Amino acid sequence: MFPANTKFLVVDDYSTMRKIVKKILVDLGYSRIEEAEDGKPALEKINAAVAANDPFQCLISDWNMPGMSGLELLRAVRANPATKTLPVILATAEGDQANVIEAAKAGVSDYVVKPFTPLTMAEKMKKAFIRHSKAA
Amino acid sequence: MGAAEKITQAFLDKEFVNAFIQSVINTHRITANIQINSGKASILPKSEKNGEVTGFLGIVSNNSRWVLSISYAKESITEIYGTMFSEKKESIDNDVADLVGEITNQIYGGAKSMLNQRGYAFEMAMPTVITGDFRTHHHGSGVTLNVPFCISNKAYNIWIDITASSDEKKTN
Repeated sequence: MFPANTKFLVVDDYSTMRKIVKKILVDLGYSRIEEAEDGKPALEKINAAVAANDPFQCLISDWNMPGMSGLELLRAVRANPATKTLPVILATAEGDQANVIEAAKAGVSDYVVKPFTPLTMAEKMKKAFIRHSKAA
Repeated sequence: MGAAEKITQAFLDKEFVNAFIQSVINTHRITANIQINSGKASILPKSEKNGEVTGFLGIVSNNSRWVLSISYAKESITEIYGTMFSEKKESIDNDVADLVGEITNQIYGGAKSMLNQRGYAFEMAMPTVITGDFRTHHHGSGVTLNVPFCISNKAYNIWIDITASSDEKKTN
């Protein structure tokens, strides 16, 4: 599992969902949690954190957002050599098989369908961590 | 076939209505830890007051456009908010409206997944939330479902309305 000092970025256009994910992370013992309300400000935060030598270590993002979608954000993260190995979990109401395949092709670390329980999110995080640890 | 005929046909399909009811149950149980009293949903008359805050979605499947709305009375949605975030709300503020938007999003996402496995082709959509007193008027091409639920032994309702849009999606 991600270590306790892992730095998370939670991205969702709904503050409700950001609150839910933040609460799950806090209950799991994490405290370094930042938020963004769309893909574009999220990408700016990710790049700024890299520039400040304090990069995010896990990104949990919604898919369906009005500006830059979670899928576009994922592709931008994977296209940048400085962030291409960042674990990215897409949390979305879109559970169709086609969406899952599209996200997998774009390099998602794991995919969680809303609504989800804290236990489901924790399991997805664990899988994403193991996958990225093996790849490192 | 026109939009009105398609929606009428869809409402004759029990699976169509059940997908939305099932998604309402799942969303409230998992996201808000609320048990919906399933199996007691009822169809309301054609003109009925239904809620003070509503999440709207324009939804598209194949060539048909429909409007989905999920409505709550102030007392019920503030109770749900309090259950989820341990914070008492006296009015429908931005936080409460945001919650209705997210719930609408999740209900549609869940129903969409179920229905697309049965041959529908619903596309992604973004909800809009509007506050105020609502009375739904159908003109022969929609339905309002009343879904009851309880929190702390108090009875509340969720209203789900699905109406065929007057225009059909243009295809080239």
